[in-house]
Amino acid sequence: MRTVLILLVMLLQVSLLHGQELPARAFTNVTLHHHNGDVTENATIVWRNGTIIETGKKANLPFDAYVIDGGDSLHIYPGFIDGLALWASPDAENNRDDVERPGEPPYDRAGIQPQRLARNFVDGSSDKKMEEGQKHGFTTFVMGLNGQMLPGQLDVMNNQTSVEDKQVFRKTIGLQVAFNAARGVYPSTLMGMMAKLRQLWYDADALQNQQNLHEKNPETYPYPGSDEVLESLYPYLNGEKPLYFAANTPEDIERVIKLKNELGFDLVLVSAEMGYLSADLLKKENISVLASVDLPEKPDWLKDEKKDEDEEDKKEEKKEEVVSDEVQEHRDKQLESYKEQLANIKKLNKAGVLTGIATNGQSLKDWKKAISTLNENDYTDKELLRLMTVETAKVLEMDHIIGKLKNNYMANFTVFDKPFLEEKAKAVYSISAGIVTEIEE
Amino acid sequence: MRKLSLLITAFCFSMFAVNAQAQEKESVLIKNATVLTITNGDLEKTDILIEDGVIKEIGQNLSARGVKTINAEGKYVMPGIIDAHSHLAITQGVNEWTNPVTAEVTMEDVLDPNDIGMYRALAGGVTSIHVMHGSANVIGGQGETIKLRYGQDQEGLKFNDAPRTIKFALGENPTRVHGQGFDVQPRTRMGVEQIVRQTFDAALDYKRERDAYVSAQSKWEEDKEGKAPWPVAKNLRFEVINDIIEGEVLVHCHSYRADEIHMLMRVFNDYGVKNYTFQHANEAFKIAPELAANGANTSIFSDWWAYKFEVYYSTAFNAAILNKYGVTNSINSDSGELIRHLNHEAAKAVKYGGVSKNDALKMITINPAIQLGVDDRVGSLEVGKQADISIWSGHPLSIYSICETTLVDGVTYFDKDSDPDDMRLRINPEDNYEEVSTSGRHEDACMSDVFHFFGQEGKTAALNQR
Repeated sequence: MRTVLILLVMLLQVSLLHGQELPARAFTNVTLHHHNGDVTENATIVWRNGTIIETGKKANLPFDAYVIDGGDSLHIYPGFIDGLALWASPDAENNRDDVERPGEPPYDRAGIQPQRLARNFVDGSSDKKMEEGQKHGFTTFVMGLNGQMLPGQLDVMNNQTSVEDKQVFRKTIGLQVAFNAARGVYPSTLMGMMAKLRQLWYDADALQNQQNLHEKNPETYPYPGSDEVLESLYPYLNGEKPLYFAANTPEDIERVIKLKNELGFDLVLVSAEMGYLSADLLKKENISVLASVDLPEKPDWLKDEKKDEDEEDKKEEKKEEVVSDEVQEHRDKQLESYKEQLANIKKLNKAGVLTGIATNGQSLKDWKKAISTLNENDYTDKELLRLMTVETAKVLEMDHIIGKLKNNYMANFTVFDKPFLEEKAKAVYSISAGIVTEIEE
Repeated sequence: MRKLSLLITAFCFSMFAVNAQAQEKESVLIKNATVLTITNGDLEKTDILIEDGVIKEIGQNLSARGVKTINAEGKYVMPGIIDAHSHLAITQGVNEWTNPVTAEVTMEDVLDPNDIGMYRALAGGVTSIHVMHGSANVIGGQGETIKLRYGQDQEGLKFNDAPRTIKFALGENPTRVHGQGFDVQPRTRMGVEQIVRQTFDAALDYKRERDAYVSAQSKWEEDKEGKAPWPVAKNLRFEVINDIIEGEVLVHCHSYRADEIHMLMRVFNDYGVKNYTFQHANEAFKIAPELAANGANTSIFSDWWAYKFEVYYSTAFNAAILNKYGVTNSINSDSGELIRHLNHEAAKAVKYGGVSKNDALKMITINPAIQLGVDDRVGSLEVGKQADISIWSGHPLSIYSICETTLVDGVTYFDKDSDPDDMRLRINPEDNYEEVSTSGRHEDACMSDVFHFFGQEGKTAALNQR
């Protein structure tokens, strides 16, 4: 099977190169789980040239379709979209070299690398990482880079492992920013990063103006030189593309919004673990969020209580833990805070804040566990599926083309052997931009 | 019992939240107190009427309808204490220590409204603090004067329209971090002076160029005639330095030795900088007349010294000598622990130096207010001033007295009779009871963030410097 698929992939690549129409592909006798919670059993999904052309019970199978029969046991979900993924990125460089003057470090030592393009960091080691993404249902991801304050610029990637040249779905959609200081050089603190971001903006603005003057009138104005770091900030300075700025606490979110309003950049907020505390402000400022589901650990005593409940049947008499009023008061607050953080995305939605998801450094294993935890805590299957597909696509302004199992949408979907939220569900095939990857155990 | 406890907690929190968030200013009538006005003597059996956070009237037999009344019979009422040197309420770094000059960074950007240290300070009668950058750099970051409106957000903490301030540092701290640590200027006290002079000169050069560009650009945009000017980038660091020279930013300078204090006064005279305060200033007593002649202020510890070489020549008479020579002197905490009993620190000036009680109280009220440029609004109990007030069980300079109530803008932010055990504003769900502890004296606040980079050896050395 694997060999056949590889041959088909090669055929697709060659054909696309020559602009030829490819044979159609189809899954029949499968259960389709739509982004809005609708489920169609015994259905067929057909795609050609990377685009879905038929779905449903009565879908027509083109004469040339290569068909895989799901045998009524396979479940197809729209491809999940990771709004900002670091799982395909190389590890951050060990950025701790001594510098002569820590107050004036080179850009890269200070973690200021906006000139880096994420897509250029897909290399031979990427297939394995991307395969892990496929196993978790991700067919599209916004590729970010591990780094510090300004790690690079973001690309939307089709999650394909079986093609030699990875397909970039959208190039350079935004600038990745985080309050993550480089160690031992300027800026080494939050206040330093705030000041440095402002100064970079002022420097880029001046250089851009100087270059414009020289360009129009080279005989009058000297050549101001070039600076790839500052030049890479121009699209953001000019409001052409947004900053994808990671912040979690309400105070950090306020700081990001303060910078946004001072410097005038467009913003997508990333992570926002306590975003619910800033929900009204985010709504007022019309800021979209790619929320993290990196949930807090359940308090130890709560885990113990659950364990005790599970073991209740085995023990007839259970010794109840006696705690002081003070401890109990602490636990009550702890539990309330735990529940509030779990309800983060719900509260953002309730406030009318457009919210998708991003792993942004969270391991995919933990991500799956967190999705299950949310499912156990009032998030319905439908809510979660919308979040991972169409809502994230909306934040990326791509919901017209990805996130749904629908005609004329990209053929991005994952075939699971069980409904995705079941603990033992496994991805069997991953289809991204029509390219099929059979997922091996 | 558990439910009752939860209800009480919820009630306390909701009351607190309502007071702090929704009612920024309150109207209150304080009755029958001994009022320590600071600027107008002590008044027996006196009432204070507060209207919308401002003192409306001070006198006897005052009345007001529909206003909360506090019966302060037998109590002492004084202005809220002001700490001119604090590192409370700062998040993610006190020291941007990486460069000898970092004037562009500011505490305004990094206020932490969740720091429970603020509540502890309120319990000591403190109502305003000067949040400062550390002392690792010759010219450090800008400070922020805040009111302890515990429970409000970053904006809510700010002391509206307080003048901007900045931290300078002389002596061992900047020379050790930069000279010894990285072999860059300054390595000596001479080098420290030159850093200040070079930075001021460079800032003035920048200003000439930048002003010329801004003015030409503005003209060119108007008439579009001739050649567009060549852009000069805005430089945040030099903008702040120029604001210092122009008197818009008040300098608070970490210093100990008389010679270096003298040096900075000479430098400031050369550049026309006025209205500045020497922080710590353990040897200020040696040059009290010179300080007074230059209009320089001091903000000192009452009796804390010998924690490093440059702080051995010190005396508990420092405050008294400075006061005698007419230097506006305050007593500060520079500590999350000392700030809880600055009244005791002021009392030491009476005990050791024979300073009058009123002058000692000035050192924690009106004098720090002068040094922060907010004395027209706080620091004494006068009609028209903001109602930042603390109420004490006895005279605040008595070791037996305790603060019972603290008001900011007339709003009660601390009340000993309604003081829940746990006043944290934000609970981390991952912190179990056993892991939540209270922090003690911030022994190395001024050099925070520097130690971790230098490792243990550096820490041992740095612990010897404040």
